[in-house]
Amino acid sequence: MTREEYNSCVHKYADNVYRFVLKNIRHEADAEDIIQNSFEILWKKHQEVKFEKAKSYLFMVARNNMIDQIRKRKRAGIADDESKADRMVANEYTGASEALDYALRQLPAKQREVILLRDYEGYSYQEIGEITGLSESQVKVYIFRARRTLQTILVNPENVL
Amino acid sequence: MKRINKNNIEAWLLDFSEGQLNEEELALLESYLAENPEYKELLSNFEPFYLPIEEDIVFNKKDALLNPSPSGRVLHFSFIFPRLMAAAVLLAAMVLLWPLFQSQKINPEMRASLTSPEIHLPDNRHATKKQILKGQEEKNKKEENVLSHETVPLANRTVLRERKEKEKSKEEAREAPFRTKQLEKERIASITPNQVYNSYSEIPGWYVTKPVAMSFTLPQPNEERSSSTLMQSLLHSEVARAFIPETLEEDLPQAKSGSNDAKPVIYLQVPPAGKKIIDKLLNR
Repeated sequence: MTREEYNSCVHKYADNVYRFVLKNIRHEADAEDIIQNSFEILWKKHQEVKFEKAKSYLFMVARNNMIDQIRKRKRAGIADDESKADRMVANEYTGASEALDYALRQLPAKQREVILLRDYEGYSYQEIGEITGLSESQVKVYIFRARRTLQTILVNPENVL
Repeated sequence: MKRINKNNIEAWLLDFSEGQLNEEELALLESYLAENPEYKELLSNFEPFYLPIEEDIVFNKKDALLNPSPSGRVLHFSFIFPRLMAAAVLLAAMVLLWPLFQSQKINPEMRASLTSPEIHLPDNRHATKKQILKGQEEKNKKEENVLSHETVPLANRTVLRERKEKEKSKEEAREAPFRTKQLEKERIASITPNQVYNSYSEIPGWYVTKPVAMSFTLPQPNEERSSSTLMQSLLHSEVARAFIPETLEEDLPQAKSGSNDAKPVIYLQVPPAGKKIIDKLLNR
């Protein structure tokens, strides 16, 4: 991948990767750091990574960074605080976007990841499998479960209120 | 064709909801659901929910990711900022600590000796011995003052002492040949006729001359020296040794007086090779 192609990746995919990470970890500063780190890794490996595979590679690297970050936060005891914050938000939200955020937070991490990759990025099940290290069948199972959960939360308002 | 089981039934249901199954696969799924009616409930109220793309979520720092530096490192504010902060803290520390360094007063003499690699000695090529000695004394005194100055930090005093010792040893090494010559001159000058007599010792094989008159002229034209000078030269050059045999002591009372005016008759003892020279000298 050339320098120009790398820069093209920044313009094309930075928003997508950022959205994916932010929706998963819900922490802007951490999400920015992960994006920065992911693109830095992409540049370091730019001679090995082909331009066509750059997007998948970016998501894969960002996901791995994200998992590391989540583990660090858990070790630091931040997870409990977040859960409390989530509950508070759930009681206070009013708009659709907040409702969607709340519903996403109720999903298990893997379900959230795969459904974000599918709906936000339009990846095929096979591509999602490559990014997440799951089989195609597993990806489908997780997405099916995620859609059912989202439906339960969002379609039936009483579950939210 | 894959078989349907409890582990992948949800994958099949997803494909069904998305209309991805062909007729054969649909028949297979219907057959499985007929055998396992509990999974029919999963489809009964299932209305797939698709996440809307939130276009308003964007990464605003793309510029920082672009145009990586030639070293290959992508510079970003979050990476540069800690380094800038560290540099600023270091600079602030230096500024704050500077007055502390300044408070340790160093007088100009010590500063000069610290900054110059060598302590320059005065040009004494045309100076008299007295002037040189005086200059040296003054210099030593100055350095002592510097070393004993209370405001000079101990570490600096040690440095100065070491430097002074090094300089002293260099000077000694430089003057060593001249000093040896000077000492030898002083030794010879201090020899009196009595000492010549006392230092007599017979050297086997050496030639003893006839009694020598104490005053004669050297071979060099127009140059006359005293006998004591000649003798000293001879002694120094090891060409000959002078002695006064004890048997002649009574005849030579002035030899034992040790006075400068004494002109004793002496004998010279020379090595075999020096016999002709001495004879020639004495016969002139």
